[in-house]
Amino acid sequence: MPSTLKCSNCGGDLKFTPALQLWKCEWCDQEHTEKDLQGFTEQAEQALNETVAVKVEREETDDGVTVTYKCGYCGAEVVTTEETSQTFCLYCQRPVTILSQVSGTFKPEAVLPFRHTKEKALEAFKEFLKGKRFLPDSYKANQNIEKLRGVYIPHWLFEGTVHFSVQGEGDVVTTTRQGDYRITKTDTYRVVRVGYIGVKDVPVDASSKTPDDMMDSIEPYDFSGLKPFATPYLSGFLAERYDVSQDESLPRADKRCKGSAENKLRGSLTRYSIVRRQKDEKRIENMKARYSLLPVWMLHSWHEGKDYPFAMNGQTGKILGNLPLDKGKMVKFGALIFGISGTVSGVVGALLKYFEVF
Amino acid sequence: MDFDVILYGILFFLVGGGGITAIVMVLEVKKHRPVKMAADADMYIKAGETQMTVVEDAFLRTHTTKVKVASSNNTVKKR
Repeated sequence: MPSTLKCSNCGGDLKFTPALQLWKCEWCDQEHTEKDLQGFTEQAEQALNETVAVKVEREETDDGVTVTYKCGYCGAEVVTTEETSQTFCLYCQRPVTILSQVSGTFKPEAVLPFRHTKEKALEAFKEFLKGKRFLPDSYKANQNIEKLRGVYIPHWLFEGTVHFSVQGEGDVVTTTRQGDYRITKTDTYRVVRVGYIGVKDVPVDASSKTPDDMMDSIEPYDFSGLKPFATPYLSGFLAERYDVSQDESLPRADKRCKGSAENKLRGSLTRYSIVRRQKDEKRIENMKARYSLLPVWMLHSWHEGKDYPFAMNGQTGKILGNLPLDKGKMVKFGALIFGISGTVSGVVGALLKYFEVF
Repeated sequence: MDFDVILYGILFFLVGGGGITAIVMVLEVKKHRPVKMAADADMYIKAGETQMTVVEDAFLRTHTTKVKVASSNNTVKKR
């Protein structure tokens, strides 16, 4: 069921303003602080009963499930996916929170509010495209950057302790030269390492629609800014609910945590040229996760029928995305570099031979 | 001009040009493909909750190999 938040002054729609970290009325500019959150939440619950909020239709298509809601203000149809928890009405442009998607088992424990505005995200996106030699001209020309959207992406934040234990033999190799002989001395040691590392808030993307590698690439987040979940933070943005369960996400968290244990181990074994491990155990204990929403500015740009999504960390501003390659530009640039570097190398080689350096 | 000089020029042209082009192209293409999966959780390690409880490096044995290498006196410098 959709709902929106109202200004206590004029009744206008409220939107979260990342730059100010507060809620601003779109009509009278009245600002509302975090202290008002409780009031907002109650208001949202009330709005649930007051607005006409009807789930009109649920349809299964080849691309997934689409759900149609009726906007509580203008009555227009709001078509969205089954996982969407916050969206906009295309006609009246009002933000619509689908409360059933952020309650019960889908209620997030925490939310990390946006800190970067859409304007900053647009600037960062344009900056990101600079210096990319192989970008197709048609891609640059067809950018619909106005389609950049702030989305709260569902994540599981894992916490636990990784215990590790390694036993084996390590070789310290030193090479010296005595006259016409090269002497290689190999000292072998029995190596034992036992320890643990504690990890907290390891994020794992809980939406099947967003690419995992992209969500990983825009990390890290500063989770000291995490807030207890409240629907007002969603106002002005899109939001999704999880469709990848905690259990399904566990293997990815497990892999990352064990990767950190491995880094710690390797850091303590740098004196050895080689370590032959006879025992190598890593196990994770007390793993638990909390369901949270993390802020991401997303832009889907299409080129030759393929989607090239962009993501910017809504908290830190880190931006990343894969870009299409123009093969023609690659060939031209490669030929140019080969011509210049080959000519210089050829002249140097010929001169070295001419002066009998070798 | 000596045939060897031309040969070395062509060799350096192909190897040097090819090598440098390959390196530059890889660097440029990487700029277009920066997205990758995270392999660790180093950024989320709790402060003060990392410890090596056992660190043991006990000497076991040593092994030495001696290999004769060409001495500098054996190298004949061509002119």
